[in-house]
Amino acid sequence: MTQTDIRKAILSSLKEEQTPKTRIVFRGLFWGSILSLALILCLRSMSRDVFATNDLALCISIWTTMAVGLTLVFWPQPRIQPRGYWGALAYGRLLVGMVIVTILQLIVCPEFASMAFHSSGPFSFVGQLTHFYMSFGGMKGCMFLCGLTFTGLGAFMIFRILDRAFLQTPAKKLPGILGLSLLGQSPVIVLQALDPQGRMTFVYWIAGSLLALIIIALMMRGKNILDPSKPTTLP
Amino acid sequence: MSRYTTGSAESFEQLYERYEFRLMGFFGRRLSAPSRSMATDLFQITWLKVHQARDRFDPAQKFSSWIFTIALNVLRDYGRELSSTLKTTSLNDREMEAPTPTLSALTAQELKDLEHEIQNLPIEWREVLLLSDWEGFASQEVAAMKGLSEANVRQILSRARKTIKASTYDPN
Repeated sequence: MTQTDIRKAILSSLKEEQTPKTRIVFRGLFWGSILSLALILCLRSMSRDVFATNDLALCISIWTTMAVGLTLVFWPQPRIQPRGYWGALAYGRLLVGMVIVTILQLIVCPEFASMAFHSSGPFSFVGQLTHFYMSFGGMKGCMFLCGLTFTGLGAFMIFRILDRAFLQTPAKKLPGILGLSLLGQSPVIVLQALDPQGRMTFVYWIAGSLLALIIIALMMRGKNILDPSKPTTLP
Repeated sequence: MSRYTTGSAESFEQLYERYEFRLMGFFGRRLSAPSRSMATDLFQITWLKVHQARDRFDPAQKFSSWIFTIALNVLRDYGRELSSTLKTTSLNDREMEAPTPTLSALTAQELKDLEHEIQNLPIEWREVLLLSDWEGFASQEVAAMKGLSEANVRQILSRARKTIKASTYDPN
């Protein structure tokens, strides 16, 4: 839970610090494993491919990113989010959020990570979108626009949750935040890098993703700091 | 501070009570009224940085200088994003801090004039003047906080005070 009083937040943090660090890491690994398992099972239940090396790499990348993200969230720290501040809590939430959004991207459009599902289910419109995107320079154009669209939508959702952290973020912090957001998409990057066909075009997907992340981050950062819907409690 | 470093909640509360209003006043004076709510965020960020860096605190150093150096760095980092709001210096902020006896003696108009004069000083001069005359730091401490030599701080202070005095009595 995030607090608004820095004094209470620091006092709670001092209490949290009494918990052994190994227990916190274990908690991160445990919940990271549970969440990763849920996401992997969700993907596997839809996939019609047999389990291969690619899938193992996918599992490892999801689990690693999730475990690191959750350990950062659980790490003893004042649980408060001033505008523009990036601490372990914000970084952890960003990482976890981006992994979840990445898996959602795969569920919506498995093609861009060369995955094959039994059926496209409620997302059959994505096929039409893919055809439309293919008209802009074939596979390269499609990958770029897919990165731009899906990462843009996903990042908007997550950055919106973290909007207090994004507001007035110092410019020097942005490269790190964008890098971490991209790292949160490691499951897709790993799948594309392992696929011979994907390897030739995934740079375009990364370029599209990065562009979307930059646009959304700048949008969120530049929001009016006097927004009355974002009250700040005086200490 | 050493007890706070080892995790004492009481020591933290003592430090917090001692610096709460002083630090809020520090940020309040540097932000114009419309963006004053950001002062609370900068205040919180400063305490978060103090909390994170408490293991690195040098006991030979004064805690007040250390926390205000952190506050200055926070203001420098986040101030760039708020550059337009940092243009006004407010000395008469009763919400942030009780005015000093010197300030209480001034009328509202005199205080406004003084704010205006300070506002017209170069940024470096203004910062040194505020740290010295409003926050009450010695030249040696201001020098350490700003990364300047003590002689340089004294020179800036002298020039800033002369400039204010000269312009206050300017009939134009």
